[in-house]
Amino acid sequence: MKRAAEKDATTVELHVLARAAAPVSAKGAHLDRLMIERIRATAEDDPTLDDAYRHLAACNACRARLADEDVARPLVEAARRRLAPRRGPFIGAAAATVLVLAGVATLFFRGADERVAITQRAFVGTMGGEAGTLDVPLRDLDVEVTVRSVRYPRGALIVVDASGHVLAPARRFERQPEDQLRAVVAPRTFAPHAGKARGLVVLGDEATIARALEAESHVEGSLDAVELALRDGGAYVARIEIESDQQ
Amino acid sequence: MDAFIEAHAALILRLARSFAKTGDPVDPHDVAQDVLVALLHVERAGSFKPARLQSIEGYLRVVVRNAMHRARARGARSGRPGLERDVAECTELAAAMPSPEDVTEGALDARRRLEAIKERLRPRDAMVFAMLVEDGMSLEEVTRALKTTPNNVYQIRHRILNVARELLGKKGAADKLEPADREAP
Repeated sequence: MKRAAEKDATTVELHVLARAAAPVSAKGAHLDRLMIERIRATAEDDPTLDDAYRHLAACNACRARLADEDVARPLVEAARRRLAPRRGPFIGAAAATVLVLAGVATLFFRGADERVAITQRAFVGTMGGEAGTLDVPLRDLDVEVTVRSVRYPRGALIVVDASGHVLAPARRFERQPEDQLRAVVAPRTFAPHAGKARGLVVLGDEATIARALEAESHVEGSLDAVELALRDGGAYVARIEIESDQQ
Repeated sequence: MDAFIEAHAALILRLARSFAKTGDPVDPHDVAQDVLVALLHVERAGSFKPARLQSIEGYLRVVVRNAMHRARARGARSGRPGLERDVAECTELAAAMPSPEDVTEGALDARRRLEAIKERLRPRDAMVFAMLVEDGMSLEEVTRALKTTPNNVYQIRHRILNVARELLGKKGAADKLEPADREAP
């Protein structure tokens, strides 16, 4: 009994040491998948694998792969898909069909433009005593953002700084003739912000835009994070720089 | 591309499982995937420098634990992922975590003692030592991971304890172990 307790004391001491120990840095590159498979397939000691064993003894990431790579790999693939632009469930078969039909369709629908075209125009707004004159400082000009898109019926413009902080309330685009959407922002209202302002043009159907605007109100983090969150909601997102002299 | 994620996905999953509680409404696989998406995003943005971290596992431990907390808080309200927060945290934590220069002397001493034991072991035994002692895996888990027999892992563990007792100042104790003292494999 005493010896058993002594044995347990050693095990406990080892675990205490492991918790207190500084992290170890594995030397060399991580093991590739084939080597991991080979180690799994070798049930007994194999001197030709000594370097790999020593790497595993020092590398917790590779040890985790040894135990769980089969489970983790599908998670990585799923994560990659979540980062990729949204696509329909039949994309594999549809892609080939689309490639064949695209050329044919071009012949018959030459006027149809599915691409999103975004333009900006600075102009004198109607606010202030200087409105309507040519002496208005550039910073007091309004900026009109126009989007031409056949595919997306609704849109919103979210103005943020380089860190993703929202500078002004999101504006919905107004529907215009000829598949155009239009929104106007006033850079002077971004104060006290100084410097470049970015715009996130968010396009989609009504439900998608409503979701995006709801998400925008409590988005935190970097500009990339804001954009990622909007895409994750199923919206088309384009990033623009607001053209004003505050830059 | 995505080399960091490829190398550390299994570790992230392991950490997510370690934070899951019995009857937890949050699936650790979902949490692991949320963290993977956020890290993929950060890695592709080019702003993530893992080499500057004192411990990648320490960093991932905090990221996964916080993602687990958020998933629990979010679960009852809606299924909408909170990726924007995950992405921001991955970036902020990478800057805030200790660097390799911040290791204490006590931690270095503990590491030296563990490495001394590993040095004395055969390479394969050293690997099993790390799995049992540093990763906290059970004998059954090690047996499954290595696709070997329980008896094989038990023998390795016996050799490990012999060396450990010798180096930790309890020389000879393991040699006197009776079969009745042995744990069932």
